[in-house]
Amino acid sequence: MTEDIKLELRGVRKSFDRVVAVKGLDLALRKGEFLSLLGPSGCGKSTTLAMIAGFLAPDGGDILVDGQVVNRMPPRKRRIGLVFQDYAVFSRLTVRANLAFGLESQGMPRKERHRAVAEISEKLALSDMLDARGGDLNMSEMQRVALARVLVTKPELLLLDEPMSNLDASLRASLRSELKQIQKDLEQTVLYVTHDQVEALSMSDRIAVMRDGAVLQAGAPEEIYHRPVDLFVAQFIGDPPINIVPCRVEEVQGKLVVDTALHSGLGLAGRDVPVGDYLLAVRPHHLSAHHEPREGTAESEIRLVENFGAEHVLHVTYGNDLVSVVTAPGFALEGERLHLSLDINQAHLIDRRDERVLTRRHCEAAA
Amino acid sequence: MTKLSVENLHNSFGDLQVLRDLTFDVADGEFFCVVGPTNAGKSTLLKTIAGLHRPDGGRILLSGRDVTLLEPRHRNVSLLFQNIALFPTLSGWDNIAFPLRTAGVAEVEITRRVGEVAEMLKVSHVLDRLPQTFSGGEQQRVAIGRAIARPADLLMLDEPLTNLDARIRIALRIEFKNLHRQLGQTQIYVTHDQVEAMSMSDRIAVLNKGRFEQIGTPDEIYHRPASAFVARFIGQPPMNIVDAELNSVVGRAVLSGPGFSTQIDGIDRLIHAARLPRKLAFGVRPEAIRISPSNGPDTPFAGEVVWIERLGSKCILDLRFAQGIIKAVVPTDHVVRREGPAWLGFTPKAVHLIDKESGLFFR
Repeated sequence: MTEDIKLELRGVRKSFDRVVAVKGLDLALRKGEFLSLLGPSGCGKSTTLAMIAGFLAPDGGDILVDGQVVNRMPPRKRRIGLVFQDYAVFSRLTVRANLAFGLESQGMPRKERHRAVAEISEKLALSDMLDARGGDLNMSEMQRVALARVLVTKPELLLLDEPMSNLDASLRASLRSELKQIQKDLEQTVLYVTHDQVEALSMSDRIAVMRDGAVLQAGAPEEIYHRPVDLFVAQFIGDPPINIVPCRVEEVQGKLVVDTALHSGLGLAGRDVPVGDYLLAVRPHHLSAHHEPREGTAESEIRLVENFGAEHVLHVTYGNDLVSVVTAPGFALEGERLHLSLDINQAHLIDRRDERVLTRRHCEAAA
Repeated sequence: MTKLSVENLHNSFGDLQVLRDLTFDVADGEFFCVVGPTNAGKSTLLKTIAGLHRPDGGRILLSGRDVTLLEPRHRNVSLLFQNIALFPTLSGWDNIAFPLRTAGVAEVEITRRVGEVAEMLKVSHVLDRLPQTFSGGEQQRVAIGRAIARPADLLMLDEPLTNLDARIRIALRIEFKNLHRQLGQTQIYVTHDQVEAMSMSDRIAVLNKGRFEQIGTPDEIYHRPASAFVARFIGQPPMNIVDAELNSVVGRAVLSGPGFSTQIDGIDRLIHAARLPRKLAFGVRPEAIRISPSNGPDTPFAGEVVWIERLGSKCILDLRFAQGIIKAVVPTDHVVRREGPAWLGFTPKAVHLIDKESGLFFR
């Protein structure tokens, strides 16, 4: 098992002056795995990356590559490839020269260099533009050249720090699947840093959600999306964001039910939780809107409609809160009233004090 | 009522034509969005309207007054740039009050106005602090506060959400929309992000290489795009464009290509069928493609799922079909959720037929 681990962080800590940037981080990356560090600005994700690359020394803990501690190893000996937000492609050099640059400085003989450049440009669909100059490329090509330049050196580990942040939204979407396919083909181990949950969900084998220098949850994208461990993770993943409303769990005739400002008596089949006040987290897709009242619906008013073309997101009243519901285009207009039902089996109960999601084990056993 | 009229606006830097013959009106109180890729000319357009660039040709009328040659400060427009520049040594309060003070507004009125704006933007708690202590979202909201503190005829926003974290962007999108509703102010909003354009605007102008491809409501732009560029720029994933042949079979219009053949209704109501060439292309939105594990009347065409992108509540499928790749969107719990053979179907619309030569939809 352990031979499969490419990178491991053990209790890695880092502070700047008195501000703790990374507090006791434990994380392991398997060979060929794509792992995303996901979190808001200032959560410590870029600091973590800089320590792995060797630009910053940890205050405590160990960084291991292939089972060897590399804490004191200089960056260039770590065989790590880095691509940043502002990628450096030499605009006066041809694509070929850009790709060969890193190999030349490594002292690779000419013939081998040619072969390596040809191989990587084939894989990244750059063969036709090897003679173009860096400055003549469009953003998508530039991104591929920046990536190819690093990949051609065959790094043990590829670190990507928000590489798509400066790109147009439409370009980002097409590059996501491109990058993922390249990574899969090459079986490249990747650590990807981002604040964008869409990038993390769509490309990662696993996601580690970070906040205030610590990993809150690490798991497969589906796990993070469907079984968040706390309020922060639940709110950080998903677009439109998850709805959070206050609720109360009561025992009625021996059965546990949930009451909210709008819905009452939602059966908590098999979920064993203490009676009391909680927060209820429910994804917009697990609320449904109807024109006519039916069993289990409650009336609500549409305050705002966001038109996304393929679907509309309605922001509707829910007690003193607003919640969002996803509908087909043209389902209803602002100011109209509709009838809302809530799928309690897809909702999470959250403790108000420590903001942890109550385990769903009981619920799933019952289902 | 028309608030802003732009007529035949031209602008170039040296040999480079940046704005080419732009004509449009913005109604009083409208949220008008200009969307397009990097270097389309979006920021140049805003700066020209604000008076920071002088146009090579054309006229700009604000509230009926020709302001084409007027100094920026006499135009009564407010422009918020992408890079937030708050005065670092001034408190949140003084930052918002700044334009009011320079305009010589009475101190009593300033106090009232700053309080009102801060309340609206939910930044009352940072008014006593310096910008360096603000979060990204707070900085942006204070900057907006400064831009709207002094009522202007026109508020122009240049990619105000671009440099922010994805999460804050989603929240601010909704706040912007609410804010516009409260202020009732005429706004021009510039972005490269079609999601912002679609969800916030009354009308959208799609700008490409200095020209408008189309101006219309979000529904018009999305459901009846004028050009292949608009069809692919608006909507994520973009509209699929498939080459096809149009034939008349026993008096009915039939669209066909490698691996598919389907009737298409409504051509004669919209376009004179005789005008249409035989070889053309048609557009179909990813969410309009039906997918099934089995062959059936709704899914008669064979395809293959070659790639799946999972985005939480939905998946984007790449399907090998008709000698190319088309994209479809399905919910996460859809029956087809693995790579492999699948069956698909679609109902092409007459308004989605494209002239392959011009890239324009037939009208």
